[in-house]
Amino acid sequence: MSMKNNIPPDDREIMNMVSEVIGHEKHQPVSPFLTGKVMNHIRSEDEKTIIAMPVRILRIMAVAAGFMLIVFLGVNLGHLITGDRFPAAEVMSINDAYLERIDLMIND
Amino acid sequence: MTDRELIEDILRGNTNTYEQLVERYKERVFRVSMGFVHNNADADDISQEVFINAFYSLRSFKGRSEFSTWLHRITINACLNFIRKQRKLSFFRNLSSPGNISKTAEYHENPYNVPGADKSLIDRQNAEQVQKAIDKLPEKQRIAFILGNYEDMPQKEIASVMHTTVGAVEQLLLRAKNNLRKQLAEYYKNFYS
Repeated sequence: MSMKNNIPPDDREIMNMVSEVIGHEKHQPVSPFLTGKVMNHIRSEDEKTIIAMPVRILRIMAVAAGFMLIVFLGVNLGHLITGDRFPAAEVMSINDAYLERIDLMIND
Repeated sequence: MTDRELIEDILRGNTNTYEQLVERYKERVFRVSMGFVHNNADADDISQEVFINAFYSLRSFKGRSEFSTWLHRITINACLNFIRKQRKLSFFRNLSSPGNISKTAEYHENPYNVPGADKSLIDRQNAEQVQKAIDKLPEKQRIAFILGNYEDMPQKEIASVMHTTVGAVEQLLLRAKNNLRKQLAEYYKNFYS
C-alpha cells in the first residue's frame, strides 16, 4: 500500500482497506458457548416460574400455620397462668341463693 | 424444519427447540453486532441479549415478515441501545477520571489487538480509523451499510428490515460509501501532511 511509502492512499486503496477491515471483523468466530448461555438463561427462567407458584402457596400456608400456632400457644399459656386464679366451672355454677348466710351463723 | 415450524413448536411449549433457531442465526446476529461495536466480547453479549429478548417476544411475532428480518430488527435495536448506553457511561467515566480507562479495555477487546495476531501497527491504526468512520456515519446509513457489507444482505431484504424502499436503501448505501471515503481520505491527508 502506498501509505507505507508515506503517500496518502487513494480512493481505491481506502475502499480496499475498508473491505479488508470488514472482512476481518466478519470472520471473527462466534463464541461456542453462546447457544448454551442463551438456553441456560431460558431454562433457568422457566424453572423459576414453575417453582414460584408452589413456593408462594407454601409460604402462605406457613404464615397461616404460624399464626394458628401462636394463637394456640397463647390460649394454652393463658390457661396455665390464669387457671388457678379462677374457680372451677362447678364452683362458678353454684346458685348463691341456696348458700347459708355466714352472718346469720355468727349471730347464732 | 422451517423457521415457522420451529416457532410453532416453541410456542407449544417445547423450549428446547429454540436451540435450533439460535444455532441457525447466531452467526448472522453476531456479524451484525460486530459491525456496530467492533469487538468480540460486546458482540457476544449483544447476541446473547438478542436471542433472549427474541425468545420472550416470540408470541408477538405475527409472521408478517420473515423471522430473520424480525431478528435483525431486534439486533439493530439492541446494538443502538448498547452504543447509547456506552456513550452515557463513557461520558460519566470521563467526568470522574480524565485518564481514559475505557481505551485500555477497548484495546484488548478489539479483534485487531489479539495477542499473537500477525497485524502490524499500521494495520491496527487503519482498522481503528475505518471503525471510527463507520461509527460516525448517520444512523440510517450505518444500518444499511452494516447489513449490506457485514451481512451481505440484498437491498430488498435491507429495505424490509428498515421499513423502507429499495431505492432509499440504494441511496443510503451510496451515501454511506461516499461518506466513508471522504472521512478516511481527510484523515490520511492530515496524517501525511
